[in-house]
Amino acid sequence: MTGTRVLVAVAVGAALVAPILLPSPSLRILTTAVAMAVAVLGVNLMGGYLGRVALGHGAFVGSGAYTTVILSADHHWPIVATIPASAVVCFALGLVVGVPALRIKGLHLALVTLALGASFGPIVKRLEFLTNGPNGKGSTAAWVAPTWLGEGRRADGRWWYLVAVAVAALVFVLARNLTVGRVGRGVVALRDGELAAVANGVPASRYIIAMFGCSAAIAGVAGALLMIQNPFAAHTNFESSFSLHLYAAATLGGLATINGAVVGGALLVGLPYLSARLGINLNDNVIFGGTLIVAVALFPAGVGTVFSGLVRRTGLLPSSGPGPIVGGHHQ
Amino acid sequence: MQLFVQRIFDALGNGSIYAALAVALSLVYRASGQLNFALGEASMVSTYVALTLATKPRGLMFGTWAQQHLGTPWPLLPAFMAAMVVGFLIALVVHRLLSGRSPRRPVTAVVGATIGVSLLLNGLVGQTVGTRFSAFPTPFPQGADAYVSVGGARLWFENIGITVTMVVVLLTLAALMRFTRLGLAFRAITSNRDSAELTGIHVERTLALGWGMAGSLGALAGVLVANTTLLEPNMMTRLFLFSLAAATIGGLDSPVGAALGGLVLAVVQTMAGGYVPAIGGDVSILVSIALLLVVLYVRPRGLLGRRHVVRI
Repeated sequence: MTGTRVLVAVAVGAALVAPILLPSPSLRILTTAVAMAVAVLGVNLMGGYLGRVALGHGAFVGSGAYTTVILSADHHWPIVATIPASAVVCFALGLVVGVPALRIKGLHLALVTLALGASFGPIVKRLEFLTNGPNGKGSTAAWVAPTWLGEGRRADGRWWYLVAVAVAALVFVLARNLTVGRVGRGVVALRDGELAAVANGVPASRYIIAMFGCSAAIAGVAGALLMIQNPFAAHTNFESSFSLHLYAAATLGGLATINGAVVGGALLVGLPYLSARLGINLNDNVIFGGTLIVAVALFPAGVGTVFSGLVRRTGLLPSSGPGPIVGGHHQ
Repeated sequence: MQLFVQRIFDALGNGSIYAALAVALSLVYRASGQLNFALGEASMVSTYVALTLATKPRGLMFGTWAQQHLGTPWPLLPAFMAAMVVGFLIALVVHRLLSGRSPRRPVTAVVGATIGVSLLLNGLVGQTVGTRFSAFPTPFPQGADAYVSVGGARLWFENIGITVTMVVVLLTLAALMRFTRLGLAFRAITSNRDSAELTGIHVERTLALGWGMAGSLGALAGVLVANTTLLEPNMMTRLFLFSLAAATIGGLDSPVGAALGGLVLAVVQTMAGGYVPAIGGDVSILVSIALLLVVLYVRPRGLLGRRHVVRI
């Protein structure tokens, strides 16, 4: 237990020191990575714990982003209040998707989520009165840093980063509690053997729908966090390919691991950045397609498990929660 | 009435393309329980190969090289055949990725590997040719009067050509499955994989052939549709999504159902686009998803799918 505390303390310390040491552009990228880690967490909950492949979570992230921008621009909400609002909106959307998903499983559900992800753009374009159609919607309201952080863009950048880290930390703790708690264990039992779980009294429908809602809500929070820095939502940023990149990042991090989402978020932002910095300029699809193939072929349990395996061997971190899917069950 | 017939005719071309891709998906799914999410992008790549071989190079991948060493431009038929070979080979690679240690991989592995290949192919082509649209040749007569008039409705030669080609190919495939040794082996694997293996059928090899043939079918769909849609890296993304929906609507484990699903989906899309004023071209995707959800909710196995029975 002390090992975990040391690790958490180091992580919190590093997170708090980062805004002082890092120059503004790097901090911006780091803030985006924090938001993306939350988005990947949403995919992880669905793909790993529920065992339902989620190929359309970009739509939930996009809904969260649009909710934030619409509330801020049209209804003059402070941005801080739009974050929980995005969570609520996406939770509701998740429930709506979750109900039909009760009857669909495996590859069928995978392709339904793929289709839902692809329909996000057309729906946004259609709802022009709300979303400003194909041009994207922006808000002029910026969240200015409190005075103790100083003034100017640099202070704002630090503030946005700190907010993102704080919200992400909260979401991660809640998600961890969810997965090790009653619902989480029930859902994993359903994943591994639905009949046995139901026979043992797990209320399948309620738990599955609840998990859908939570997963979508988390993705919505990620969308809101993305909008803190630059409150401009464009449907082109949340298209099918984004959903697939999210799924790739979740797989790379390790599908049924909470920590894996951090790795996934870092890779999602870091790999394209790295490729641009190295002057290779690979297309995002090439990067995530390639790494996804390698990950599935070499590390069926996720690349994140390689890291966490190493950490566990040092004895710093006890294994937490249900393990990742390694193989076995089909559909 | 004339307009109604016209809309049915218009749906024929798209319907046969959806049907072909849906059959390719369901063939593989039936035998191996795996969905090839990379089929769409693989046929896009194959179509680019056909373009490189059939036309004069204009800054295309390997265009100049092909002209010097392969003597392009080729006539259309061999170029299309080459595309089908490429589709076959890509499908083999994907199958190889998925086969291996355990024969029954979890859904996450199937989705991960095929989505990975799909993204990679799309990205590589996008990186090479950019977002440019290329015109693509067609073997069928073109022009303002290239149609036959049936009761005032125009039935374009291109739609007839695509539909007839697909019907012939699908019937050939059905005959292959029904009357040849390979087809018998394939059906045996579909019916009971373990027993098939015990009778001496090379399961992996037969499945690989099945994947390859499905890949060729996808490539054929690609080269036939590219003239209408114009060729670009994202050409197949939406078409493939519709085909997935079509296969699911018809029943993933029934090739006949999948073909039927393709036609039904195309007709519904054309009708919705034509009669409901609020629905433009872009929203045919919403109609498809609505149809997909309704069918899955009412009849999760699809129109002609088998009920999945498990022994406990």
